[in-house]
Amino acid sequence: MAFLTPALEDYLEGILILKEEKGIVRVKDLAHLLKVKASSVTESLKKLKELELIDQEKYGYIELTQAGINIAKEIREKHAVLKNFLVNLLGVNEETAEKDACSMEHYLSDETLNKLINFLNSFASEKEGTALGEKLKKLSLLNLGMKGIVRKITAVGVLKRRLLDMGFVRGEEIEVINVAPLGDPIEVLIKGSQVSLRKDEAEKILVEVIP
Amino acid sequence: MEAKIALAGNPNSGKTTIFNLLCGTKEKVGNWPGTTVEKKEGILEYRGKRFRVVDLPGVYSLSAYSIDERIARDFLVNEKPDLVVAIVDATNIERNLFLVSQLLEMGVNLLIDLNMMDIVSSKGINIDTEKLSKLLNVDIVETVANRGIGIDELKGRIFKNLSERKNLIPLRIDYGIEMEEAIEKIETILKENYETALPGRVVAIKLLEKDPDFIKSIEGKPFFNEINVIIEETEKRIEKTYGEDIESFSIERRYAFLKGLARECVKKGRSETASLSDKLDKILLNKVLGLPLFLFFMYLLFYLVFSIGNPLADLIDAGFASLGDYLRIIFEKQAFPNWATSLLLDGILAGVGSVLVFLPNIALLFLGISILEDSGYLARAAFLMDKIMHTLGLHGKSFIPLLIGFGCNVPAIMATRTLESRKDRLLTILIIPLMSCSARLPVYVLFANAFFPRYQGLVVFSLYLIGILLALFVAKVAKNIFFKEEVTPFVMELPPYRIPTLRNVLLQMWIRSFLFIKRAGTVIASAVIIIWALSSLPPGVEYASQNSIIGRIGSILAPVFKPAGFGNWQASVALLFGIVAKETVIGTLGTLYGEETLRTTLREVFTPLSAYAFLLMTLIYIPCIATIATIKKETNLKWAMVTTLYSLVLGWLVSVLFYQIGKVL
Ligand SMILES: Nc1nc2c(ncn2[C@@H]2O[C@H](COP(=O)(O)OP(=O)(O)O)[C@@H](O)[C@H]2O)c(=O)[nH]1
Repeated sequence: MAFLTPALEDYLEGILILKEEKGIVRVKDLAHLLKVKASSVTESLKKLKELELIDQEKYGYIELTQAGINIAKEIREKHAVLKNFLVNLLGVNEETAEKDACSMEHYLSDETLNKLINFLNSFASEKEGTALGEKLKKLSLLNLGMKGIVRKITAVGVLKRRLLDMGFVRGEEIEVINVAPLGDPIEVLIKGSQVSLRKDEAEKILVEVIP
Repeated sequence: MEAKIALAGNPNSGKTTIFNLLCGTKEKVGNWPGTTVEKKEGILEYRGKRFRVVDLPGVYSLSAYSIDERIARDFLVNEKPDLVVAIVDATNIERNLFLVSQLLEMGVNLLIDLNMMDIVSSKGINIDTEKLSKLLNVDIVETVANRGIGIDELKGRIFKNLSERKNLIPLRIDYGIEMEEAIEKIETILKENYETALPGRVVAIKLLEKDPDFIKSIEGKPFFNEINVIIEETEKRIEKTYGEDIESFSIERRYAFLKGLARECVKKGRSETASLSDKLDKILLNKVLGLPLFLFFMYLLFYLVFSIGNPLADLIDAGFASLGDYLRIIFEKQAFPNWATSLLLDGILAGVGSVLVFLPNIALLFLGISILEDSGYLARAAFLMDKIMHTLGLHGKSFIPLLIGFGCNVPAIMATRTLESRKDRLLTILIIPLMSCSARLPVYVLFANAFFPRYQGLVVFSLYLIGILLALFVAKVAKNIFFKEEVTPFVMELPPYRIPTLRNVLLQMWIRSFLFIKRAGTVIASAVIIIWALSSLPPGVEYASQNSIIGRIGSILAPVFKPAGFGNWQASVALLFGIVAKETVIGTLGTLYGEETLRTTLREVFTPLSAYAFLLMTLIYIPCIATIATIKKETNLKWAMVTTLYSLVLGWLVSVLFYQIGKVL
């Protein structure tokens, strides 16, 4: 994804945020969110369309393609991790952290991101109760339709190996898509497949909830 | 020697379909040695050449935590197939390639079959096969197995692959500096000291992941300590940098590699609208509708297997009876000696008949089960029922076999093959005989009618209920005795709904029916013949009378049942015959006490108390011979014995306890 300029990445992220907030994305709102002129929005959107990252349907609503969604989510994750790092570990004030995260996110490699996440995780598990630690939730506690990112597997032995083999690895997005009528087991979507697990198994997967 | 081909792949990737297409009906079904896991082998014929094809169990990985994975791994290591065809569900490349990447690391000669290409295109996913092939350095074929598309191409590539010499270079995944250093060190130690069947790098990785099998294989060797130190150091290093153990870390790295690979070669379609499968799930797994719909489907299954199957079975039964009558007349005209007529008709013909009579139920059951399985609903059924079944110590998938058990225990035991874990499967098999099958119903009804005319329904119902309660009890106890250590994760994929193919369904029906006859048929038939012999010997006695061998055995056994209130030889003989088939209990009592006056005679011989004790015995004791034979063939002699013995002891205990307590009250 090296071909995207930071500005274009910001657009993708913005579209994702609006889409999740309002359900539809209009040029006007996007311009407002990113604090730019509507004309420059239109221009950037054209580029994104050429890259097949968005679809612009009639009435001017903007939709992300699957590829677009993937990239946008990645950027947002980076953003969240960076902000978390800046605010909770370095004590940068919220507003500055937001701005810095916004510019840093575009230049962060996957490797650094992963190490940063690991660092934050180990930090969180050392100091129970720090921001990220509080954010981690057992998968079994997620309600229907909630999404999260896998942060830790606390299972051992056979269960742990099975979960890992089936793609429950750190950083993976997970969504609760069904709950059995009797409340257990639950069904989740992970790595493109639908997997059912008992609640006492889901308890051993810690996720960071995506709001 | 024919070349050996192994099929490997994730569950639900289409492996069975492809295996069937490659081998036609030329397949041999057995068990992997020493296990209850099914092994399928077949012959692929192509351009006048024959290849032996082995279907490996469907697995997600080659770690040795489940028996399936161990079988697959051992086969690859020990039997060294000439070619492994990896079946990949192309709609989910990343997850499916996990297994493939392990195979490639092992350096096996591999051919990838990207299956489900129809769904790939309908989802608008674009796969750059050429690039993938180049990056992984393997040949790739695309297929749509359920419609047979691409299978000829697949055969051709298999043929081509096996007729040329290749220089195989194992895949190398970069595990990051910490692990790579350790791998290199361990590899060097291994190279100097130890001959490994697998590439040293794979062994090193497995050792670092602390794979129990690999650790065991070098334990006690002089270089073990040296390697152990490296493992521990690396563990600490990785723990410190990444906050994780090596196993998780290496899997993460592997998935990271695959994610990159997918990013290069797979272009996802436009943002997906909810697929048909998701919509179906909204209804079929619905909080309100899910269970009623499930029960409705179960009703349909039960109806199919028994309401349609039983009349057919009766037809076969009647057919054999009239054939017997017809032959009897002919034999009499030919002045055959009596014993020969009896041997041929009451022994052999009846024996064959008692096997064939199961066929309609079994064929229809597998018609139903393979529709449920192929459509993807079977996994949902387990999902819906697991809460209840798990509370009882069983698995969601145990429900269907237990339900079928109320119709007939034999197909029920065959239906347990949908349970993947050995523990869940054996536990289910152990308690199936406690489900009152339809053959026991006539016995219940006769006695209830004779002794409790006003409470018939209640009496029959109580017996069904007691069976279920005892089953729960037995499951609890057996779990503690036999399977204390075994934990099996429930984690299971729910495959997308698909329309089953007629070919698969019919093939399943045929294979299962054939297997039943082949495996259990001889045992059942011989048992019938043995019982015939016991009833007819010594020569000249009246069939099954007190002087026949079986009558004498009955007389010896009778005192054993005295504490249960039915210590007469006739009851014992009836129970002995009941082992052949439970409904014969009535027939035998009829013969021994006289058909016309059976009810009144019974009332003279039994009290209501001892009658109910007798019914309890009928419910619990030894499953019928067909059930035992099926258990033996589906598992092994040990479990057939365990079932026979526990049920006998339990039956005796329960009926004696009931009678004695009842007498006091
Ligand atoms: N649409 C589609 N369905 C397929 C294809 N191959 C197999 N199936 C279906 O997928 C289901 C599972 O296939 P099966 O061979 O039993 O998978 P296995 O679990 O890997 O043995 C069955 O309903 C098949 O009919 C394919 O290429 N396209």
